[in-house]
Amino acid sequence: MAVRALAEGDIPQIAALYWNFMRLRKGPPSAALISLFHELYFESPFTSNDFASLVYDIPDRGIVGFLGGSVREMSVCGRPIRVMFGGNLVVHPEYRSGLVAPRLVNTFIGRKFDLAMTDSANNISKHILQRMGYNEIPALNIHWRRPLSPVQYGIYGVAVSANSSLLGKMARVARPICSVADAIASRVPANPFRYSRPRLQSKDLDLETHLNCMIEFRKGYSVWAEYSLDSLGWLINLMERQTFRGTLRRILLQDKNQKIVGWYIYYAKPGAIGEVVQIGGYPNSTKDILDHLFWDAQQQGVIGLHGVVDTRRIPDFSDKGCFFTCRGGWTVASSPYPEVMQRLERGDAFLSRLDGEWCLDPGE
Amino acid sequence: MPIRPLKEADIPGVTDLYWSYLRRRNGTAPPRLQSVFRELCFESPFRDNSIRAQVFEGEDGQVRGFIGAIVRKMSACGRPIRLVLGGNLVVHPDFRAGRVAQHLVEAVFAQDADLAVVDSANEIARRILSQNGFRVVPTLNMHWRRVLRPAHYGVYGLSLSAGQPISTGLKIASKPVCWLADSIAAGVSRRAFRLKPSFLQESELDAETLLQCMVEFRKGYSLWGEYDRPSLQWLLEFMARRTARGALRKVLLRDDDGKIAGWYIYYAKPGAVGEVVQVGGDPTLTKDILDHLFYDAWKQGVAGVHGLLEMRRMADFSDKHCFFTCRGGWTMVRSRHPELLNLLDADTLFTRLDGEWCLDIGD
Repeated sequence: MAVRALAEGDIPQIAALYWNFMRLRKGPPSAALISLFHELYFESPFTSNDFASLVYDIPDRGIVGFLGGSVREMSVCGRPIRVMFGGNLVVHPEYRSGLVAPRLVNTFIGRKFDLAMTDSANNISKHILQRMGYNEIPALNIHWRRPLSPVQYGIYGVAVSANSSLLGKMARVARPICSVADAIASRVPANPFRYSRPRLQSKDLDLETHLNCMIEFRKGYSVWAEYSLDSLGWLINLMERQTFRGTLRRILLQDKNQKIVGWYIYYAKPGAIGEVVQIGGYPNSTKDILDHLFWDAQQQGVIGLHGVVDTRRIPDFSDKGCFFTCRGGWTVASSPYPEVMQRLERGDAFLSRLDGEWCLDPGE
Repeated sequence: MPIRPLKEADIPGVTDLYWSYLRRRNGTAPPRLQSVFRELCFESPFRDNSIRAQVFEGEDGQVRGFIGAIVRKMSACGRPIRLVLGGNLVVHPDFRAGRVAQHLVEAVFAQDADLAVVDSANEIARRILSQNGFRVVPTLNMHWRRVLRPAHYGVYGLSLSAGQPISTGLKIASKPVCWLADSIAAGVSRRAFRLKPSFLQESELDAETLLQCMVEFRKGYSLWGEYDRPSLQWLLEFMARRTARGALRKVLLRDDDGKIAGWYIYYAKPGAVGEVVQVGGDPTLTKDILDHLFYDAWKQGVAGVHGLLEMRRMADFSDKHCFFTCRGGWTMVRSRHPELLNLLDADTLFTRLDGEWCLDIGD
C-alpha cells in the first residue's frame, strides 16, 4: 500500500476514478477524457518529474486515490520561483475514512517548493489544506459577478442557492419568459443592463500579443506568472478545446489611435454564465475594458459574468455594477518564504485564472 | 479665497447650508440640528483646536461652503498617530462652478495630521478628493451585505429610488406579498433564509467592556483606533441619539463558559436595512457571531444588514451568505508617510466606529 508517482499506465484508472467519483458519472470514462488526462499529466509544459502527480496504489485493488498537480514558473520581485499547484484530489468512497487523502496531500506538500497553491479548492479541501499549514489569501479569493440579463440571472441565482434540481428544471422552463422580460428591461433608458456599443475597438488576441501584453501590464506588481510562447500556446489550445465552459473568446482592445489599452479572455456560453479567465490593461482604462467585455458577452447571449478580481481594480468593477463574493473556488497557499506570502496577501500579485489549476480543469 | 476656520457663530449658517443643500430639505433647519453641529464641532472629544472645520464666506459675509473636521487617535505599530477626518462637504449651488470645494478640501487637510481620511465620500467628493491626492484603498472599501428577508429587501431597495409618498405606498401595498414570498424563500433556501439562534449568550455591551474587547481583539493588527472610556462613552451615546438609522443595539456575546467570544453594534430598523457599526471578537468564532447578529436582526424585523468588511474575515462572511460591494460610501486616504499607506492596504482594524460615518448628523 503506497503513495507513488503517477505513471503513464495509470491514466485509464485515474480517469475512471475522476469520472465516477468526482464528476459522479456512471460507466467508463470516454476515450477523449483518457487522452486529456494523458495530455495534462504527461505532455503539458506545466508538469515536472520532481513534482509529479501522485496516486495511492493498493496491491490487488488498484488505484484508490489520485492527486493531480502542475508546476508554474513565476517571478517574485524578478527572482524566479517554482509554484506547485495541487488540484483534482479524488479518493474512492470506500477509502475516504482512512488515511488515503491525508497521505496523498502530505506527500505532495512534503516536497521542497518555493510556493504551493491551489486555486479551486472546495470547502472540504480548503479545511484539509488549512490544517496542513496552508493559508487562505483574501486578496486572491474575491470573485466578481456581473448580471447581464437580470431576470435570467436572478432565476439562475435562486436555482443555485436552493441547490434544487426541480428549481433548475423550472428555471429552464421559465427561460423564454425571462428572456422576454430581459429584452423589455434592456429597452428602458438609463437602465444599467442596457449596453451600447463600447468606444474601444476590438480584434482577436494572438499569442504573441498576449504574451507582450502580460509583460507590459504586469509592471507595478511584484509577483507574476512567466510564460514562453510555447507554454502559452499549449495552454490556450487546451482551453479552447475544453468547451464545457463555452467558447473561449480572446479579445484585444485598442483606442482610436490603435494603441493597445487592454485585453480580456472569457468563456461565452449562451443562456449561461460566462467565466472570465483574465482581464488586463491600463488601470485607468479598466472601466472601458469592462464596458467592452459586458457588451461582447451580451452579444454572445451570456446572462452574467463571473471572474476573480484584481484587488487594485475593485472600485472600477464596483462602479460598473459588479458585486463580489468568495464563492467560486478557494485559493490557499503555503510558502517557506514569509515575504512571498506577504506579497500575495497585500494584493501585489498579477495573477489570474490563467495562471493556476482552474484553466486546466478536465471538465465533464 | 475667503476660507477660514469655523467659529461658533457660524453654526446657524452651516446648519442651513447642510439642511438645504446636502440633505435637500425645504424650509429652515430644525433648532436641534444646530445643537448637534455645535456638539460635534465644539464639544466632542474628537475635536482638536489645532485642526478645525473650515468655512467659505461669501462676499455678503454669509457661510457659503463648509467642510467638517474631526481628529481621531490611532496606533500604527504602537506609535501614536493623528488622523484628520473630513466630512459633510457642502457648497452653496451658486458657488459650485468655481473651485470652492477644492479649496475647502485643501484647507482642511493641509492641517497637521499623520493621515487624512474620508470614510463616507459620495461620487462627487470622490472625484474632488482624487484630484487632491487622495486614493481609494480597496481593502477599506469592501462593504458586506446580508439579505435576511429577500422580498422585503428588494422592495426596500426599490423604495429608496422612489419619492416619499410612492415609497410608503409601495411598502404598505407589498407587505402581504413580501411576507408570503419571504416565507417561501425560507422554505426553499433554508440555509440562507431560515435563521437559527446561535449558541452564544448575549448581554448588553457597555463602554468599559467594549474598550477591553477592542484592546484584546486587535492583536495581530498594526493599525487601530485608540479610545479612552470617556471618548467611547460619548461616542456610543451620540450614536444612540441619532435614530435616523434605527435603534442602536450593542450586544456582547459569551460562550458556554462565560468567556467573551465577541460583540456587535448595529442600528436596527424594522422593514429597512440594519447598518452594522462593528463586529469583533475571536476570529475562530466569526461565523457564530454572525449567526447571532443575523438572527437578532431578523427578530428585530430588519430586511437585511450592511456593514464594512474586515478583509481577514471575508471568507467567514461569504460562508454566511454575505455578498460584497463597494457601494456604501468611499474611504479615501492621503498621507506623506508611505509606511502608513502600506499598513492600510492589509494590516488595519478600521470599522465604522473609527471614522466619520458614526458621527453622521442625519436628518
